[in-house]
Amino acid sequence: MQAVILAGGEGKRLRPLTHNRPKVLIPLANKPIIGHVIQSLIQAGIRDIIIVVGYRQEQVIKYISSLPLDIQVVFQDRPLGTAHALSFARELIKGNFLVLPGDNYIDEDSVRAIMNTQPDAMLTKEHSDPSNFGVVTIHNGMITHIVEKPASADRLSVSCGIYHFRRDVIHSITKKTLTEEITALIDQKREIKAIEATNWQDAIYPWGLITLNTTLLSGIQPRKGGTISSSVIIEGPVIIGSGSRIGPFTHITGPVIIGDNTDIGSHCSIGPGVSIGMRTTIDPYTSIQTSLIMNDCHIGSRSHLSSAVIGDGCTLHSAVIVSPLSGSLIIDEGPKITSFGAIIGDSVFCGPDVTIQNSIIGTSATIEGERTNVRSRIIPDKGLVI
Amino acid sequence: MRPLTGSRPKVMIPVASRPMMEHLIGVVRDAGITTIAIVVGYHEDAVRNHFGNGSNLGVTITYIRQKEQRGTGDALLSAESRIHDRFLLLNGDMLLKKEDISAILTGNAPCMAVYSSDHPGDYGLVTLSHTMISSLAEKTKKSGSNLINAGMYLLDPDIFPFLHTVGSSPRGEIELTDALEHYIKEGRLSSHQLSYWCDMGNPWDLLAANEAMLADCCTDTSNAVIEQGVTISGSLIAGSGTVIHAGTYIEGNCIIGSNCRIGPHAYIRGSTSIGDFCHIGHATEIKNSIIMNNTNVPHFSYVGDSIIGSNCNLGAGTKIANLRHDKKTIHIGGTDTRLRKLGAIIGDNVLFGINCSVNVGTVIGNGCLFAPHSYIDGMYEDNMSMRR
Amino acid sequence: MCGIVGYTGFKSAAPILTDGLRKLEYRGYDSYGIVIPERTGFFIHKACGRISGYIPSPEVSSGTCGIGHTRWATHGDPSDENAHPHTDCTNSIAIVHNGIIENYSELKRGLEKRGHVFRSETDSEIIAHMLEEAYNGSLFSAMKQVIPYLTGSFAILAVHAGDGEIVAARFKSPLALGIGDGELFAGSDITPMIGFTNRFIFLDDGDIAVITPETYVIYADGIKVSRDIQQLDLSPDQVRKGGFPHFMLKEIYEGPDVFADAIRSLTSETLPEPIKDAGSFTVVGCGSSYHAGLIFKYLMEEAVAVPVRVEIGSEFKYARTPLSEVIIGISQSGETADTLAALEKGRCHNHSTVAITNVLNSSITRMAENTCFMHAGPEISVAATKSFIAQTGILMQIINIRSNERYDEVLGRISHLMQIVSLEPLTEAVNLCKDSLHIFFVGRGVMYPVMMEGALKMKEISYIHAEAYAAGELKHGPFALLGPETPVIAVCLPGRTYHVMISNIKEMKARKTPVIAIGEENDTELSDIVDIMIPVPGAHLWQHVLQVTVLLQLFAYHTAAALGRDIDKPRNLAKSVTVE
Repeated sequence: MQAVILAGGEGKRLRPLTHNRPKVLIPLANKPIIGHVIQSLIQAGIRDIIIVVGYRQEQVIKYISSLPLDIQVVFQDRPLGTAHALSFARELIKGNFLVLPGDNYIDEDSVRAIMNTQPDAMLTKEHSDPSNFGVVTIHNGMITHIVEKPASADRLSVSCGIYHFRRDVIHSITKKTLTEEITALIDQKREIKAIEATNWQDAIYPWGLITLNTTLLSGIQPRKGGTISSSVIIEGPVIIGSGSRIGPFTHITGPVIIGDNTDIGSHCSIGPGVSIGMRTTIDPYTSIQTSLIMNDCHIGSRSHLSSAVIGDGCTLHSAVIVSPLSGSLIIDEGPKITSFGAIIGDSVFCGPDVTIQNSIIGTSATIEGERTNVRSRIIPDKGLVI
Repeated sequence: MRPLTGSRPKVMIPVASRPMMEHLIGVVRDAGITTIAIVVGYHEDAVRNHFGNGSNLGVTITYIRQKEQRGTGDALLSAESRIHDRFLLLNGDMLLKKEDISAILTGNAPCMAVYSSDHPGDYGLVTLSHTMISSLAEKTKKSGSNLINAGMYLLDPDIFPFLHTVGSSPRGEIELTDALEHYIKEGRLSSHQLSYWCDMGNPWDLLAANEAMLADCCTDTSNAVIEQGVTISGSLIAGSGTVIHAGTYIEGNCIIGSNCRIGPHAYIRGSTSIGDFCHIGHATEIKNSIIMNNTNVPHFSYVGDSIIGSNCNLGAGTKIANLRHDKKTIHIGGTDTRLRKLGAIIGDNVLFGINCSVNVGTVIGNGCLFAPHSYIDGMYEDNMSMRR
Repeated sequence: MCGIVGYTGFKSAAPILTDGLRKLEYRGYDSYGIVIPERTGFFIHKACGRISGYIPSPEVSSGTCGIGHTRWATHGDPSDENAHPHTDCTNSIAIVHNGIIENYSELKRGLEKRGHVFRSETDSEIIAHMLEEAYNGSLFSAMKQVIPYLTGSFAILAVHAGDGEIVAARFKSPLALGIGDGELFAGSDITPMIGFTNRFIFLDDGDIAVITPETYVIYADGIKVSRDIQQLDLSPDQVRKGGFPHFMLKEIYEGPDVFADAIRSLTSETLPEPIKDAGSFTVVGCGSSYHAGLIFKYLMEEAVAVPVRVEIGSEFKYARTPLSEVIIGISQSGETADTLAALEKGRCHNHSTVAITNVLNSSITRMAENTCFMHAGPEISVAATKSFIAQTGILMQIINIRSNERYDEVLGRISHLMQIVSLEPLTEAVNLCKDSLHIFFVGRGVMYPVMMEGALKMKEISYIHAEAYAAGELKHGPFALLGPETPVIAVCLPGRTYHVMISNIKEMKARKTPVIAIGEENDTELSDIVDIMIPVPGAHLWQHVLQVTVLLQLFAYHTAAALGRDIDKPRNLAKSVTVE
């Protein structure tokens, strides 16, 4: 069985986190989303994997080439849509095949379910807020109708974007998106079975990553590497990467994953629901809960982070507070009620004693001045707050 | 099998103080086969250095190197040029009984050995119609039959043309079972059901294998020095240069290698094997464990149902727990071992400070260091260190 | 440079040899050949050009012993005749040779006088004829007699018709044996043997080895010696491209991780003793390594005021060494002949020597007293990218340690900042330059050697004539060459050099020269006067060094890609230059 993973998209709505990387490479539990997809495929017994790359393709290829797998890569020259992306894999398809988005989480059981169903078939999932997805109408287990991103919708089944197609589909692609393609197939009276996914998750907006990260952390297999002080208290599932150092009297409550070569000072409190990338430094007396911190960051002493996503290479000085707050943000030209701590892009500098709540901070932004409060604001890339 | 395979191939892990493959070669020889070709790959020099040309075991051994680890079919293909006649093909990492091998040799080729397992879901399943194999299936969670492919086959060289036509499987390997499908289609693949089969897929399987192999051992302490006041019950094998000091109490079946120092006042019981150059010291209790060469447990320790690699040192008072308070089975890395009593699996070159406490089901990688009084639980990667 | 490979065992030798030569391709070559002894005479295949197309048919020779060679022409043009292997007059001895026989012309005259007929213009062929004269039933004794007559450098493999034995000799050219089961290998490095075995012996200068399928015997000065077997766990995976179109691009993208690994590999405890308190340094290197040395000079002298002298490897032998020094030799492959010679000279003058190299067990590690490894992983592309990054990382860490770790914070952020600049689109700049005949790279201060490295990359892989100048030097001559046809890449970042660079750029613009500037983002003063501005985020000078390096590597890569060049194996070039 072959599987095509679509990894060409940018994921605009996850900006600023997708400013420097495509959505498929956002790390969840310290593994890019696409890595979780590949893992589910491998566990389900699929090894013949083709990945369509586009936006920031070198980074995707760099990640793929670091895996001990022979994965074929094809290039999408312009981002025109999912079906257009799939058509680039045409020459490599030898039989019936799966198509998956590289930027949604899918579990092994769902992959097995769809691969063991006769094509054509698609995975669907009931969703409480279907307005961001393709909403499907199902009759007798068959798809009868699909509408992309309806203006309003009740609790309905949505398309997971995961399909099992017969080989001929790859040669008859005429549309830009797979949703349009499916509609065309239905019009041709092709039967498309609907299979309910067991666990499929997508982060539409950046704060969705916090929940998704926590969910994926719950499945980690604990292991410890590096140098750990024996006075460190570790509870629950915790992964500590090799070359990392954990200082005395630090308390780690799983699920927590700490990458390689990261230093955590003494008297910190980490977790639950925290992932920290590689080469990051956390100074003493800092506490972090339910957050996703990427690589090469420096978090100062006596900081408190909760419900935060922090991109690569950020510097947060001492006593920075990030905590959740409910408020309204203008997203996609409309106000949205949100409640999280902070989404911080790459290379952000944040001075001491700053408080950030329910805000999105663009890449390379600078926040200075003592006791600055940033509440329910969107700071643009390279923005300056004094 | 990590961490035990960090410095040795799996087939060289000791069971009853001898590499597991040596037991297998022994039974194959006893069944009358003396020409053996070993397909080697990972750390092959350990295999070659140990077995040499096989004269010590009364067999002739040649070695074939598998270029890449590309599956069972590929391993067999690499031996093609050396096979001209009917042959027996075995996985090197299992234990068998001589009677089963003799029986399969008297039958017709092609034949596959099968075994009725109580947890068949972990293996390749087999279905039979009468005695002929009617289908093979990959590892699966659903179970219908409890018969599994035991990894022993009697074959003729006519398998090779089939093997050449087999493409690589989804995981990029050439699978022997794909070639066997040809025989199955023709209804020609017969089966032989084994009376005993012990496979070593997980490190803790070694403890059961060790126990089984020790059950057959006869006492031989002629080359060891046993002081007055040592109590021995059950069988005990002790190698040359080994000294067992006074007050030591041994409840066999146990095996102790050469040049070891045991006691005074050590307590060793329940199917324990101890390698060469080990020191099991004063007031130390070892129960149902495997301890490899050059490892010391010198003072006031308890080691139960555990495997300890070579060149390790347990600081005074370090203890390994082997039973949960709720008496439930022990899980390692998300896998249920189905064992109620299991201590730790410890790699090579691990050093413990004094009074460390190791919890049940702990796995410690090679080269880890632990400060005194450490509490040790879970999985530890190679070269991890725990400091004060 | 030339690569050699040998096999003796139980498998058909031809496919193993061609596969091995293919893996040696990265060293650069213009012709190749293999020889397999038959009962009488040899099966020989040699040809000019790429080996990729050649598939030996099994009927041709089923021999299980043979030797092969990729040649990079030094004596004589690339041609079928000059390609190795070479045979003697009786067609019973065949050799392949890597290195240079310096006294070959006098030896050749003697051989010709004695009636030998030469079929090639190479220096190597004399070895076959000399072996013929010395042969008396044993190829080993013949080799032992011939070696003392040869001066220069060599790694030789020789076979005799009808035999399954290979005789190998090494002097100043690398040669390793691979130990398999019932089969043995020889090669100029271990790449052709990866996948067959992971156990290797690295021969020493003066060693002669006799290898048969089952055994090997090594002689030094005619006495049997034992050499350690080294187990190296390299998997073929480490030398595959993944999905990248070229190794060079893969290696550029590995740069940030390589930099982080390099600085972590060196701490105040592991820093070689002589570096800790040296009052001055001499750095010797060739090509990119020389440029890394120059960057070291600028940064070291500024940070801790310790004087640094930087010498090109091949010129060092003409220079007088100062009285007391630490000499740092930099070579990715550890086999660069000029750098080795320089270190040897340094050692003769009682200087402390430190090698910086990427290859464990390479010759330089045995030449120098101390070695710092780059930990960059195998670099396949001929143009050095990640190894240059690693060298710079090691050298920066040396300065950092010498200045009491003042730069820890600065170094720690570099790998992240490198990742950021690697996302910068360069299409505009590439389009401006790709059809030019000449490109100038200009910078001031430490940016001058950075630009030298950028110009070198451009030359190597795009074949465009690129030249680097210190911006202040332009007016002293090269200015005459400027005009609308010759684009200039200028680096103009805030700091001491900023204002004078701005006026330099204005002068160039006055001559209608197209200027591509690398400047700090939001620098409107700069972006207003130049044609194309490539922005980099604001950072420390050290961080700028690496950012600009990555940009220039990518710039050269994309320019060469736009021109359709053979990026990983540029014409006429070799990965490790093992001749002087």
